[in-house]
Amino acid sequence: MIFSSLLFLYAFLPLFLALYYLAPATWRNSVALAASLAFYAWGEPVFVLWLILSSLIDYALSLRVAQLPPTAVRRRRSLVALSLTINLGALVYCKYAGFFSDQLYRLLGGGSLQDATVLIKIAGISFFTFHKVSYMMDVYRGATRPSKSAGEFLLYVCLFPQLVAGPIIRYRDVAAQIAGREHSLDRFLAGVWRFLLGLGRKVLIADPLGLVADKIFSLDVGSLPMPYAWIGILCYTFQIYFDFAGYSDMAIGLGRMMGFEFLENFNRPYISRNITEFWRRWHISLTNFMRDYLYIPLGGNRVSPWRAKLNLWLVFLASGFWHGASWNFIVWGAYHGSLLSLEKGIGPQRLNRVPALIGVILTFFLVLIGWVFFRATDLTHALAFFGQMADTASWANPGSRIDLPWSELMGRRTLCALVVAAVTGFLPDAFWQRWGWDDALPATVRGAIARVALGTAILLLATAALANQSYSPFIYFRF
Amino acid sequence: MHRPFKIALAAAFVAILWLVGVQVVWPFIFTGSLKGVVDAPPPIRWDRQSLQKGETFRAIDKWYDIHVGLRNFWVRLDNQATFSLFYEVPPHVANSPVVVSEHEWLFEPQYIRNSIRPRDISDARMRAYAKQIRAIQDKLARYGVPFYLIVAPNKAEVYPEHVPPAYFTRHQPAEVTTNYERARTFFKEAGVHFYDGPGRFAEWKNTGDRYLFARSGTHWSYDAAFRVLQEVREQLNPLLKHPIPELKTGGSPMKSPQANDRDLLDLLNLLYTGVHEHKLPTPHVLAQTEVPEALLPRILWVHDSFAWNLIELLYSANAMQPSESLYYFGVVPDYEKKVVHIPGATKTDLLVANIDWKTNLKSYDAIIMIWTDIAFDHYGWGFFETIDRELK
Repeated sequence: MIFSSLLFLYAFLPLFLALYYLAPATWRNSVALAASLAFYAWGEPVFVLWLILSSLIDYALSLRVAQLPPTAVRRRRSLVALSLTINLGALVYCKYAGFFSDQLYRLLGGGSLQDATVLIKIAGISFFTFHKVSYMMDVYRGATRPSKSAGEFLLYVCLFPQLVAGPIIRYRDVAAQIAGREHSLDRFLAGVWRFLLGLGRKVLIADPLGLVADKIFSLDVGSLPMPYAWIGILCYTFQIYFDFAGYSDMAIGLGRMMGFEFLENFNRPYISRNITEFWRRWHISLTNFMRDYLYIPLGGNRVSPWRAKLNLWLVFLASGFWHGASWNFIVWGAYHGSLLSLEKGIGPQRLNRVPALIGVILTFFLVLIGWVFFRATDLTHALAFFGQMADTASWANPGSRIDLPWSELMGRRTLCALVVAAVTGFLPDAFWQRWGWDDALPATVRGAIARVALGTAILLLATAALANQSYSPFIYFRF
Repeated sequence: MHRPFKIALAAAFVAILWLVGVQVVWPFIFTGSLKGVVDAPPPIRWDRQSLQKGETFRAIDKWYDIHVGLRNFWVRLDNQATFSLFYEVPPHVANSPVVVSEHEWLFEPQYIRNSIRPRDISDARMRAYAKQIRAIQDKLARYGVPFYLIVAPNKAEVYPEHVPPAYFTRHQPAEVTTNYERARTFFKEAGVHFYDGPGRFAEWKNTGDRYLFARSGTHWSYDAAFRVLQEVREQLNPLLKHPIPELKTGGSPMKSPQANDRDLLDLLNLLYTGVHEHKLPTPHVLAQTEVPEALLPRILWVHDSFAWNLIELLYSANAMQPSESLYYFGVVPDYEKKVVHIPGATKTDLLVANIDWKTNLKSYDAIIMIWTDIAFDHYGWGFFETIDRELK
């Protein structure tokens, strides 16, 4: 189940909210856990058992790790290693077994094995594995105490707002909230607003832009005129941001409706002045995870400058691979790792001397180039796509090169979505703060009315768009 | 902000969620119906395998999408908002059947595409096809049943000036020879009885006729269809045992588009269409009473959707006996495999594939086949092969 589905919006959510708020305060975690398991089982009816079982094993291991004295280093490490092996082993098997076996098969000269490999795909495994890894590492390091009960730990791992697509929440950030949290009208309304904002970003902006990107990336790349290639990657650049950030907004909003306060996952990344800043604003929870559980253990900044740069590069290589099991994700990670290492070499003082506007434009351009690797089906496709982006000969009269009229590719509504995405994507922080964009309701009556009107319009239009997606009629109707 | 206002807001949000959800099981707010034909959703299976694979849940998802409360309102709201603000069909309507052009000229995209990129069919294939039709025509004639082919015109070819220009950046319809335009020569060579709809419409258009198609329809207008019928009648009557009586009208007043003349507008599924309805002449057909029913022709129709308003006009004129229609000859798509009773267009229990041709054939005065150029490569949907096989 996904948040931007009619079933979630108009069946799961109202039922859940009713049960959650009608239940006594002491039962609300149980209601949330049952709903979360039902939510996950809806998409993965079998693997919900794996989720529960592996979580219970982790919980038992964490208790044992916490019980052992700090001096029992080897035993504690072996328990953590067991947990990591189980979790990362499942992740590697489900997500990467096909990729590795395929590469091995190719190395041995056997062609491709992609179709022959039996894969198990478990929704959300990348996210809940990282939840469990962060928990176990924090317990091992003493950064947090083990959860008080298996139920609370299960709730941390399975809490449906963040289960399938993040944000990646560390246990220590929500442990107190799981034990007891405040349910207030203001927080609930702030959650509703944030949820609707995310729904609008996903359904009304990201989805139409995604249709354009999908069309362009599915075309024969050789016939792609230069403007089509650029508009395709531009649409994808905003699609991936509004889609992912919209989903995070919905997760944060749903969390608030339940009394939780999750950390932000996106902070207007496209206004970044350099790549380093971009990664402080993009998928913040993943960046934090990589920093805390990979970069710092590798030595962080305490090693020699060249080693720190290499570590950074390796961390982003791993980050790229985490996003998907194919070479283009690895190259995407390496690309960002290289840019970050380069910026580290240049140093923050010199970087800050670059005028803000130039920095933002250059960073956006570099990020956009990176998205070609991310979106393309494979490396060959990505390289060919770059070729078309640079094919200046095809700039003039692109419609004569391809059987896809511009009006069929990009309607006025989609163009409007792109403009809204670009404008809101580039508005500075100060604007949003002045607007009080994340407050439950603005202080002024006019502001409150505008907020309610905007929220209502988003709910109505998003629902209408979702309902219409499922209605694709033919003309012939006589009976 | 006052607490009661906040409570009201939270309650309103939850109430909207519940209202839409409750409508699924108890639809107390009626929101009308949607126009158009849709594919049936996948069935919900409760067997162990489907449950384990999650297919059951995915099917429920789809079922819910279709049955969500106020769905018809949501769909129309989305269409209306997009149409009013952006003058187009929402981008997420998969395989949208409607292209919106200036001044509310509506087209089906496949007709536009066919006008500039007809499917590649060799001359040899066309010649063989024309000979095949002639052979069937002769075979049916031996059973005393004349065969007559009506080729219908393509709106995008008749009125290319109203098609969005973006479609014609590579080719103009005038530069393209359609499959039918090529086949016309072969049909004449082979001696096929046929009505040259595209040719006649081109001639009528040259006289300045603006109403051969309604802006809001994909088929020939009732006005044009009536003229087609009169010409078909003249050509066909000499071959019929029971001729088609004279077709009369009480004039063609300017009216808002009805039925076929607004099929594309209806397909837009807007909340309000009044301002998009452009009046056009609509024949007021008079029902004849001179010829008794037993002496009226009984015609079997094998056809695409262009036949419907011809059939409707003929029955309005009381010019035909009740008969049968074989819509797409029962082959495309799944929902039309049965023989259809006309007038009324009600499905019978008989499958087209189960027709006993030798027994039934002689009850018809003629067989009329209708298709557009776009359906050229369907080759009569298998009708000719069936007749050839069944009448050996």
